[in-house]
Amino acid sequence: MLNDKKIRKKIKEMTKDKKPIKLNKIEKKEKAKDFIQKNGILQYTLLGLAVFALVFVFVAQLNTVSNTKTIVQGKREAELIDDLTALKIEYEELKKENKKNLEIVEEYKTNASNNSSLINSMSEEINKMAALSGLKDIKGEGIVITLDDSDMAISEAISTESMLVHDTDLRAIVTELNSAGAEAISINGQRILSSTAIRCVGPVIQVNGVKVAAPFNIKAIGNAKYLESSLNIRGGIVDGFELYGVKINITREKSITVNKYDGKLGFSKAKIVEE
Amino acid sequence: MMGIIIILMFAGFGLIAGMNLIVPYAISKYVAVAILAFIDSIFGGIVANMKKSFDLRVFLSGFFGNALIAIVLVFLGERLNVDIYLAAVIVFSTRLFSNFSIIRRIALDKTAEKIVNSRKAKEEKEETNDV
Repeated sequence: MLNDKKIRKKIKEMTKDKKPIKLNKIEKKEKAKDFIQKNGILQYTLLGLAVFALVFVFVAQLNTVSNTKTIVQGKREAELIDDLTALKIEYEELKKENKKNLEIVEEYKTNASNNSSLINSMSEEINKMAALSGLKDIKGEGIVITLDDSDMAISEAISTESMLVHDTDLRAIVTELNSAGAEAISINGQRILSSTAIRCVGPVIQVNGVKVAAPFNIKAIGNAKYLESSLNIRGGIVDGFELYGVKINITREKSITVNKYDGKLGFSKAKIVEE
Repeated sequence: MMGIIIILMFAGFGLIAGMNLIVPYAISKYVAVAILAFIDSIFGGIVANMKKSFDLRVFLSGFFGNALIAIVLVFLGERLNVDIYLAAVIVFSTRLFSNFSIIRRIALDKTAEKIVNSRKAKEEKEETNDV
């Protein structure tokens, strides 16, 4: 009797277990559908997509705007002018300080050179090297070139571009002078060194990072005859300028002074290779 | 409850996705106008919800459609050298203000009704107490 009951119970349980499993799947699906419909999950996900789009775009835009507000855009013109004047004053002060320091160095050099002949010869060497690298004022025979933009009426000129003196013109002149054996060149007081850059920055030209503008005054020390003829050669630079009305004037001088480079020279990455 | 959680989840996703993205400066004008269109649609949705005439399809089509048209206007303006996007900006912002005024009125009316109702209920209670 007991065994029978147990077996029946087991059978019942088996059948109970089996049937509901199949039902459960369908029921679950229906339940899920009901759940989605009751809670309006589809609507909310669609709304959520809209919210996603808004937040996404909003945050991205905030990122960009905060990134692109650089110093120049954020500041007004007046503030920029203030900054410029402050920087100019600072520059002048630093220049004065630099001059003082250089004087002190000079003093040490002269004191030292009085002491012994070895140091004397060394200081001579230093002077020579400084003159070669453009850190000393130099004087001697040479030519002075003045260059100015054309006065030609715009209708007469081939193009307004060609009436102006460009950075390329200055580079061409410097190259020409160097090839004719110029020993020192300066443009509007800016000494041309081995590291000098002459480039166009908007409406002005930068030489050694300093703005220069027309009229240009180019001084070159060297054999005046050779220097002048290198520019005056037929089909050369002067001919090219006269075609466009750019005013160029070359004078030979017995003695001109080319002033020194007043910036800082030095290596930060380069090292001397010991032989 | 479920809905709020879902929407917050999507907002979180948007935040995470947007944090790592920088829109090119040339495109930022388009994005700004699209944001304005989005905000305008949301205010419209709130008004519709308060008037009990909210329709998800209308809302979603307006949400993305308005933004698209605004972007097209900016694009066209840039091509024609006319700041047409200003039209979108003006329309969206005026609609925003008018929608806000509607929201304000409905909300104020509702609160006024509530106050009146609560007073009435109090008076009724007092009357019953007196009796």
